[in-house]
Amino acid sequence: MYAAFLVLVGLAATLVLETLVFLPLFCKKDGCFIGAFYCVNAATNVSLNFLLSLAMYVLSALGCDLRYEAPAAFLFGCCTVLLEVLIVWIEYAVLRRFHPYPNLLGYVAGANLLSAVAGSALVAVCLSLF
Amino acid sequence: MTESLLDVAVWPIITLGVGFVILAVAVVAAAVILLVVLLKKKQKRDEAARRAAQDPPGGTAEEGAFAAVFAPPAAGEERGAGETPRGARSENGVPSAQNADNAPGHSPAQNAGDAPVQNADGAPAGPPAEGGER
Repeated sequence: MYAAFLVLVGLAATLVLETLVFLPLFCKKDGCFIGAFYCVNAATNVSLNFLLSLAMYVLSALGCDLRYEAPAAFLFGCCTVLLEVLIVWIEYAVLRRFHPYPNLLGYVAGANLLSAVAGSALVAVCLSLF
Repeated sequence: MTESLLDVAVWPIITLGVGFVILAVAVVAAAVILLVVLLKKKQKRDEAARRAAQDPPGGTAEEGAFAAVFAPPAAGEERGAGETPRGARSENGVPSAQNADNAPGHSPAQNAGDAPVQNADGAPAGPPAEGGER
């Protein structure tokens, strides 16, 4: 229940933050593009969070605590970055089919970077608090 | 003892885990389905826009072809050799006599050859002198 709540909160926060970045493109009022943006973001964000939660669950089941195991935390971070890059490319490939705006890849990368930094800060705060 | 531990600790975790997986899969599946629907909708919209750009105005292609053949030429459209559009001025600044309503080429009486058409001031119709005013 706690994990599901975190996933939904993370999804909402991601959508809000990425909407801020995509506002210049949303001003063109292309309904299909806006709908596709939210759909592909929901799909990629939930998939990524699900994979990360699963990895953390497996690590904790193996007795590895990421807060105290530096190599495991480093590996976890590297995998997260690689998955984020993959997600940026997937989102760009999907959104380009709806409208190939100039600098679309930059918008997608910037939005995901902002979302990832905010998510990392949120996780750091949660880990320090609990 | 073992059964009580399973009842208390394991089954809620499994239930929550399965629920979490179902929730995640449902969200992703709904997003992907909606994405496919949006993509098809956009393809239909693009197809309709492309068809509208290809078809001439006036509905069907036959109506468009009829309008293109029988419609009067629009203002500024090319009419023929040596003619200027109605209302346009020739090179010397005088309105085009051929396009005036009392011009020889537009008068039914003169075209029939009965009598020369008079202008309002009584002067015979025809093109004014080069660069002159009547």
